[in-house]
Amino acid sequence: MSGLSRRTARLFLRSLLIQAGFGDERLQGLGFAWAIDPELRESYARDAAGLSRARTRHLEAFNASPAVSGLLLGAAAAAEAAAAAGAPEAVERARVVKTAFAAPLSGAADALFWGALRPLAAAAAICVFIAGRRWGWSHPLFWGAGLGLAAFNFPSLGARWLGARRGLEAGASAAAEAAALPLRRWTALARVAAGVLVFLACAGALSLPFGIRPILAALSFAAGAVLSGRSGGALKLVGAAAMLGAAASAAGLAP
Amino acid sequence: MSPLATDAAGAAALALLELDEASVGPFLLSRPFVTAPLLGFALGSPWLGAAVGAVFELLTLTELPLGGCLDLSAPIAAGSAVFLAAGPAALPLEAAFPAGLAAGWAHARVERALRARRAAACRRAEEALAAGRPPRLGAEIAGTIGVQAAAAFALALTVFALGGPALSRLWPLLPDALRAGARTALETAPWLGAGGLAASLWRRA
Repeated sequence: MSGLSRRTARLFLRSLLIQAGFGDERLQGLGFAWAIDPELRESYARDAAGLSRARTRHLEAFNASPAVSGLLLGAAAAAEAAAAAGAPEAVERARVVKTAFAAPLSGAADALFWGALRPLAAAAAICVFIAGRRWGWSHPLFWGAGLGLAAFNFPSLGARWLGARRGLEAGASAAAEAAALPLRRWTALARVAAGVLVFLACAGALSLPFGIRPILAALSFAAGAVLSGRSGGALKLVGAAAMLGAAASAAGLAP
Repeated sequence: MSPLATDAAGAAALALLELDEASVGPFLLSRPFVTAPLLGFALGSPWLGAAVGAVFELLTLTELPLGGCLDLSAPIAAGSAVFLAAGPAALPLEAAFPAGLAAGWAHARVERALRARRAAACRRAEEALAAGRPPRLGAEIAGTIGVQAAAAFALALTVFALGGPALSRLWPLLPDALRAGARTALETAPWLGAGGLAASLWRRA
C-alpha cells in the first residue's frame, strides 16, 4: 500500500468516529483531534512543541457534515504537514479549511446526504418491502434494507474516501474543487426520485391487507402534506389524530 | 431464554445499533427501516418489524440530524415499539407505538445530558497537553462511545423489563376512548408522515 493510500485509509477509518465525542461546547472537536492525531504525530515527529501546539489547535470547536469530514481532515492534515515542513503560514490555511470551507460544504452535503439520499434510501427499502410482500418475493426485507443501505453508503463512504485522498493531495484547493461540484443538481434529482418512491410506497401499501380505509389514508396523507410544515412536524399531527380518534370514540362516532 | 434475558439481549442489540445514530458512521444501520425489521426478525415477527419500521421511518425522515437537533431518537423509538409488540410483553401494536415514541423522546433527553457533559473530555486533553503529557484522545473517544451505549442499554432495558409488563397490565384497564385514540394515531401515522415527507421533498426540489 502506498503512503498516500495508507494515510487515506487511516483518515477514512478515523473519520467514521468523528461524531463520537460530539458535545455542546466543542461539537466534533474531540473527534477531529483524534482523527487527525496520527497525521500530526508523523508531521511533527521531530518537533514536540510544534506537535503539542497543533494538537491544541485541533481540539477547538469544529462541526461539519460527516460526508465531508474526510475532505476537511485530509486538507487540514496537508496544511499541517506543510507547516511542520517550514511553512508557518500553512497553519492559517488549516484553520481556514476548518472554518470558512466547512460551513458551505456541510450545507450542501447535508442537503444531499440527509435531505435527499436518506429519504431516497428509506423509500426504496419500503418499496421493496411492500412489493416483496405483495408479489411474494423471497427475502424482501433483506433486499429492501440492503438496497436502502447501499443507496446511501456507496455515495456517502465514497465521498469520505475520495475527499480524504484529494484533501491529502491538494490541501485547501480540494475544498474549492468540491464546492464546484454540481451538488445542488444531484440533490434535486435525488429528491425527485425519493418523492416518486414515496408515492409508489403509499400506493403499494393500500394494496396490502392492513385493513386501513383508503379514504382515511388519503385524508391523512393530504393533512400531512398541507399541515406538517406549518404545525412543526408529523409527530404533532399524530398527537392531534389521537385526540380526534379518542374524542370520536367518546362521542360514539367511531368504534 | 428467560424474559429478562430476552429483554437484556434486545436492549444490548438496540444499544449497539443506536451507536450508528450519532457516534459511529453513520451508515443508516440505526434507521427504523433497518433496526425494526432486524429486531422483528430476531423475535420471530419480521413483518411486524417491517411495518413498525416503515411507520417510524416515515414519521421521522423529515427531521435532519444536524447540530444539536434532538427531538426523538428514531432507533430507540422504533426498536422499543417492535420489542414491546413482538417480545415477552406482547403488547398490542397500538399500545407499543406510543410507548416507543415515549422511549425515543426519553432517550433524546438522555443524549442531551450526555452531550452537555462531553466538554470535560476536551478540557482533560488540553490539561494533559499543558502539563507536557500526550492527550488520551483514543481513551476519551472510547469512553464517550461506551457511556453512550451504556445509557441506551439502560434505558431500553428499563422500557422492556419494567415498562412492557406494566403497560400490558394497564392497557386493558384504560378507557375505550384512549385506546381508540391510540389506534387512530397508529393507523394515520404513516400517512401523515408520508404526506409531510412528500411535501418537504417537493418544496426543496
